[in-house]
Amino acid sequence: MPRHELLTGNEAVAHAVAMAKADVIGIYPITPQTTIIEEICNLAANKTFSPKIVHVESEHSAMATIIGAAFTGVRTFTATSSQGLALMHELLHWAAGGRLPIVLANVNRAMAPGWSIWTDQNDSLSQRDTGWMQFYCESAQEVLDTIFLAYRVSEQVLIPSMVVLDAFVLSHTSEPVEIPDNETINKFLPNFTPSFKLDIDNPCSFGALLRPQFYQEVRHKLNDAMSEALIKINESDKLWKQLTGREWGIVTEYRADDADYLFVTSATTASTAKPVIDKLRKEGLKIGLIKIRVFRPFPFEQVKKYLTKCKRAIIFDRNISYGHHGIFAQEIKSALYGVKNSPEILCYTGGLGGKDITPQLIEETIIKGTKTKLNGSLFEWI
Amino acid sequence: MPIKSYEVRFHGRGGQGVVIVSKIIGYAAFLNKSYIQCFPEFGVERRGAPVKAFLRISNQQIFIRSSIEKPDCIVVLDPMLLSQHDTLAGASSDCLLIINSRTADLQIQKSFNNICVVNASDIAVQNGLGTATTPIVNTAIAGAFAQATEIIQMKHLEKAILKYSPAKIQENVKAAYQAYNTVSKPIPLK
Repeated sequence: MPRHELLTGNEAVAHAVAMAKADVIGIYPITPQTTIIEEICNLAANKTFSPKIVHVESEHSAMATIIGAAFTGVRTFTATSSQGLALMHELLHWAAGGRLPIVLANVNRAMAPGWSIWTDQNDSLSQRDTGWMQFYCESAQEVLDTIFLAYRVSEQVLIPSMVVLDAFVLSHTSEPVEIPDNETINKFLPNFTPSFKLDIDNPCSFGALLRPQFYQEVRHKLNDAMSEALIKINESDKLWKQLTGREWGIVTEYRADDADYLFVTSATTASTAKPVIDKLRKEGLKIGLIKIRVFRPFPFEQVKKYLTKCKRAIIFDRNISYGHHGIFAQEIKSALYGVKNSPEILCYTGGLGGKDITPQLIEETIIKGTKTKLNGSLFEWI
Repeated sequence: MPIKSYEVRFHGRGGQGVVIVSKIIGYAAFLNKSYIQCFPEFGVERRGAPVKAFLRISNQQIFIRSSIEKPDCIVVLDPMLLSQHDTLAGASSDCLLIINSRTADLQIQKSFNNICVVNASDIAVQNGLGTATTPIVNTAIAGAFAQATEIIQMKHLEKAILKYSPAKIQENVKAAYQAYNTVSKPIPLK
């Protein structure tokens, strides 16, 4: 039987990692991630699970440690935020290039300077091209469920996963979470046995020199595996629904069916937007919500399917690519390039460095987005 | 879709157990099958500095994830904070004000229809919680909240204190009951 507990987003990560029985966990503290590794250490001290926890001297070493462990075929985990993730950057490439099914929780924290411990997505989105899958979550329940899904899919397609949650708004917010029983997790997440691993009885070389005739082929395979991952995410989501009654989708819609306007966003902003959509619907505006949950692999087909039904898409990014505009908006535009019935697109960026995204702010953005006269595409700060 | 949640904002000082009391009350409501969401002020907490915590209670799933700007109830753990500009910010005259104070003679900048004053400091000291100068008032305040709002039940509050109190559990439970039995229903103060 599942049980219900009050958990923060960070505690949800820790409980899921314990239930997934991660074998090796590299830990290095950084706000607002630190309570993840604290809770993991509590759960290990209580013998809820028995991982090898390795205290290291930097995030770079945390990732290096679990890369080494993952090459031996064990389940691994680490968590970080902001500058900590940036320090891992070099090794993120090693993890993906090494086709290691590592799971990392990144608590979105704005990049310094100026010094900030609050949320925005520029840390994780700066790692877009490292070859990791990225999942953006809106609730502690979604965080818990996504850790299990990330392990399952990563181990199927041999690509590492980054499970992303907003600083404080999710990481430190307590809410009811349904925790599945161990039997359910065993059904969903079988033991992992890689085809190749570091093994003294069967010596292999990993990460060796790749001459030009082989390198691109290996990268081509990684990219193909990303496409396969979308199929596996979908399959795993269906199985999770059978087992728990919950599914999270890849791109999800809320009241989008007959919408003239779509508000497109990610993470906790999508949660706060739901009551706003209800309010505006009541007032007669045909508005719906699209949440992009899986950012890598990018769900081109799903984005096309939903967005070609509306007249205008109002995209809200909690991130910025300097000299361009919001990063989700860029990706959505590229998905719609040359597609028949593409909507008008308005790109807004707001909520950086923890600036509160209130229902009023979302409502004002939507109203502005529906009324603006458009000449080409538009980018504005909120 | 969601009806409006009951929204509570807590004001106290670092070390008074402001964040814990939001969790204790939240957990008590959760045990009564409510949806809840509670979170600390997203800042850097220091002993003695003003600290805020937020709590939403609803009979339906809670989607809004921004901080609470128009609370239905404000709980003040240190009456000195009443003079801070943001303590009563966004509160209408219908907002319930629960104040820990040794005296009912309080300078309140706005007019409120419902004010509940509880001497949580003395209750805490009597139960050996903290010291006379820095009493740990949060569990007494939780008892006053239960009486004033009737949103949580004492049997659930007791379980919540068992779960979240780091020490002196029985003393904390006793303080909560003492405050619950001491305070009257909120009285209109003009």
